[in-house]
Amino acid sequence: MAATVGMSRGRTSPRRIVSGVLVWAALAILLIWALTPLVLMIATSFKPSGEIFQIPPRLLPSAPTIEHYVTVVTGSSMGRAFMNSLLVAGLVTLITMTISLSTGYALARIRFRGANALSVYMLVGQLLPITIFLLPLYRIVNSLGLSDSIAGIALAHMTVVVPLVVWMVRNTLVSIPVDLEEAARIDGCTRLEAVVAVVLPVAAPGLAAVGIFAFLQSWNEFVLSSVLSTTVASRTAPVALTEFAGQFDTDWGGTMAAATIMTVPIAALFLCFQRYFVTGMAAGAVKG
Amino acid sequence: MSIRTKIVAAISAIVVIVAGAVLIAVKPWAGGSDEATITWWVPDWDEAVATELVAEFEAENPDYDVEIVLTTWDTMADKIRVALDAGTAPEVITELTSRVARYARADQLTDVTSWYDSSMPTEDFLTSALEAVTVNGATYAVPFRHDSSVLLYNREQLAAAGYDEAPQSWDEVVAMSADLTSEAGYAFGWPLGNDNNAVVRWLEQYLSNGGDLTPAADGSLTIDETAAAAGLTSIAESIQEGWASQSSLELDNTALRDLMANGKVAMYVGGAYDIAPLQEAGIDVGTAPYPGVGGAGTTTADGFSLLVPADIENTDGAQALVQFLAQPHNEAALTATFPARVSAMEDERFSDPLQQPAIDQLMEYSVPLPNHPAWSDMTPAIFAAVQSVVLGDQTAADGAASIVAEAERLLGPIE
Amino acid sequence: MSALSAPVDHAAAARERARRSARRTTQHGWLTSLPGIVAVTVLCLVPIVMTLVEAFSAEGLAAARTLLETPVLGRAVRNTVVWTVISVVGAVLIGYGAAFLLQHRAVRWPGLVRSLLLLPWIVPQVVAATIWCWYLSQDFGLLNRMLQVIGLIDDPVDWLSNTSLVLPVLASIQVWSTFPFVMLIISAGLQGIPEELYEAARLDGARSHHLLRYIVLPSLRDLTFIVLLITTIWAFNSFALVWLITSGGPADSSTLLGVLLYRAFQQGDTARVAVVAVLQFLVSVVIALLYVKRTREEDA
Repeated sequence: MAATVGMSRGRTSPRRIVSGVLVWAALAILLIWALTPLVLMIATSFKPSGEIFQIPPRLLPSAPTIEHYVTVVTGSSMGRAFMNSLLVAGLVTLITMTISLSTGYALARIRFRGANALSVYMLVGQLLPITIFLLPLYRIVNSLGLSDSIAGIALAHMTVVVPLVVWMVRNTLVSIPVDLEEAARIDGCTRLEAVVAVVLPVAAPGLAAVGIFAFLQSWNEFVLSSVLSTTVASRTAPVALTEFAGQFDTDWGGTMAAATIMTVPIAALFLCFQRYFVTGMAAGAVKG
Repeated sequence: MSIRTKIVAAISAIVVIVAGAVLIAVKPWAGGSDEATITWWVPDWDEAVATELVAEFEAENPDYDVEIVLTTWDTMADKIRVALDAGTAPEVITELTSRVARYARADQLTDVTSWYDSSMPTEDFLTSALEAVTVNGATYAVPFRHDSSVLLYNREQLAAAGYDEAPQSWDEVVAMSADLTSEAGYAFGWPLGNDNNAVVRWLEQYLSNGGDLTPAADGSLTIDETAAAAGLTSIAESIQEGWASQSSLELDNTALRDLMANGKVAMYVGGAYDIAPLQEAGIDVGTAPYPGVGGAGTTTADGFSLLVPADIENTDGAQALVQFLAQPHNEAALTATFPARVSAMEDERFSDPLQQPAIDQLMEYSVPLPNHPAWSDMTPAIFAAVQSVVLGDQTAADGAASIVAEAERLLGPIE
Repeated sequence: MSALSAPVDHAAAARERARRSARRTTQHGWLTSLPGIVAVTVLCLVPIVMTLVEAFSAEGLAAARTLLETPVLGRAVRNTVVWTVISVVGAVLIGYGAAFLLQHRAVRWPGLVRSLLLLPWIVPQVVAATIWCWYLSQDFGLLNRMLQVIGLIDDPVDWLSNTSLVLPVLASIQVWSTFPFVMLIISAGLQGIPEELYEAARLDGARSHHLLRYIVLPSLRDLTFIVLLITTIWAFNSFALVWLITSGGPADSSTLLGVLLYRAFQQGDTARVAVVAVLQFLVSVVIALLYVKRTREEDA
């Protein structure tokens, strides 16, 4: 049961009502600030092109149309790019979680010399601006014969995803009491068996949350993907979004429709699981 | 359902989706590459026409198979440069004409001088286009599209203010400005929110004020400080005096055009591609040559060319495709603005009288962008100077001095 | 060892066993970590080494000298500091605020509200940049229109072309996009505080603000450091948001170190890329080491 902060005594004291109203007001302002741009995105995607550049601007379309969605689905590579992004993000998540479980477990459980230095070393990919990885990663991916392929992009994404994910997995595992494992090993399991049978199930919500985080990082990645993908075979969704900006012309309706298509499904997926994210992270939270 | 079951269900769903996507993605590997495949990188706005032309080409040349790969405006420069650097470029690339020289000087392109035979004689090509892609006497690309600027104005608004003709010179623009500025809108506008757009507009002012972009014998380029300052002054004064849109620092070409479409701007300098969208928005558009100092001004011309990277396998195929695309009727079809060949200009696509001033400007009053390898590195400095002078952070004289200093640093003799 | 051999020294044998066991544990630890180490080394270390080599080569040092002479470097450093401070302080304050607000008993459906507040973080940066650019436009933007309708302003504000406004405005977009992450982590932290702690304190007569100061904040200290570290690194190294909206303008008033870096990359100036990258790397490493030192003090 979550602890609540800010309780005052008395059921309906004026202080209680005022504080309640203030809280609601604050949340309302926060919600408006957070959501207006997104509402704008969706509203613009349904506006006919002539209305989009009206002065003065209006929020809602007077004659909603789905023409932009039709353009995006039939006249752009967004559909294929969406699938590519799913594939890349899925691949990245699978491989990263596997690697991170291994390293994260070692950092969480095994007290070995140099563990602290190693944990800083793992962070190194996050400490650098992504621009410097562009050319080297391009050469690495090409030399492996993975140019313009899903696997190549996934490999590049791991550069930015692995560091934070290892950290988060370590934190999640640290919060699981060691006793569980030790009890299993006393019962005769090997370390690996103990981990798989006892630790993983308990850590599952937290690990699922970290997995979703990894997925999102890869899904949103733009800079590496734009340089490493050439044809639709490997183009990811954020890169496909730039198709709507021509040299002299930007199709704003199409851009917003494509942006909506790119964002809404993933947002829905995430929102379904966000509860577990909080619970999962709560397990590893206080111990840090 | 316990949380465990939910998680298992979710993971299974994800695995199924991923597996399905793998199958869909892997299938197109059938029909891979054979020796006679020519890959052509085409910008996405050319896709429809390119596909048609490729179909024609393949019908005429059954030995060759052309694969079109689409690029986008935002990412094409980076992609092409990275591909040429890494040696993974395709056979034919559509690239901005002004960027060709840099790759040529880095020895990354095939010398195509010999391809200019009787079917595509050099005399038929616009000089400014050919000059841009010729380095040290050798030509490294085939231009197919070339355009310059044109003045666009709202005939209704001008007529309402008592003018039935477009301004012929910059002085006339200034003279008309007061009558065209009101509560409802401005007389003029500039696309100073986008670096490339802003630099082109400044270059036009620079050239019209007597500036010069011809390189010295050793390839170095000097910027005339007086003309540079005059250019900065014209732009800054129009905004500071209030007759050019105050939001100019945010605008790019598209946004500026949309301001005119909303009746908020009476005149601006754009391109022939702006005519149709403005007409669609219900504006009675007129066109005129660039109002320079004392008459028609000089503008820069740029466009797109077909380049062929060095070290490709199928040079014959590349040559066949490029020479096919360079035919007058094909250039006329492929270009989104104007072709790079004089004979192609006669195509009826370009017969609209509104386009004539743009064609005149292109053929008579335009010069190519410099093909010094470091030219495009000047963009940030010029952009910053234009913006800071407009903002009043710098005087025009200081702004011009900074541009000249940057030119001295970057545009030295070419080894 | 047979029972009939020389006198058995139990202490020495025990020491030897302990040493061997420690070595085994160390080996064990490194072996288990191997996949991660390989991944990071191949993907990150090689580019870093290449960059370092380039930065300290002759061209690199020459580029560094040129860079130090350009006025844009000073501006970029100043902008980056301002940007980072506003982004981090903003994201942490609002993230904390949101997390605390959601704990209040007056809030019904906290899960739903939290989900909605997460959306800015889920939205890809490209999309966020595109929408905000549109939203803030002086002529076509909805924000100016809304503020005019409410009566807060008379004329449209040039959010993105005013040199004094543009950097804070862009930083606020970074805050918009990162505060949900902070909120998520702090929410998790708040929920992890055991009820017993509150009850014990209340029995001792503690009021709300005592609870806050002596129970909640200390429990969140570790998370606060993680959050500070991550948001600082993200802000310091970021460039995509600024690049997509203003390209560093107007007149370099929003040019960050990351923007400077990308510009050099586009110009093919690999020496300058290396120099700026090394600069950013050194600062990031210092920040990370500060954090590690802090947590090591905690663990000790």
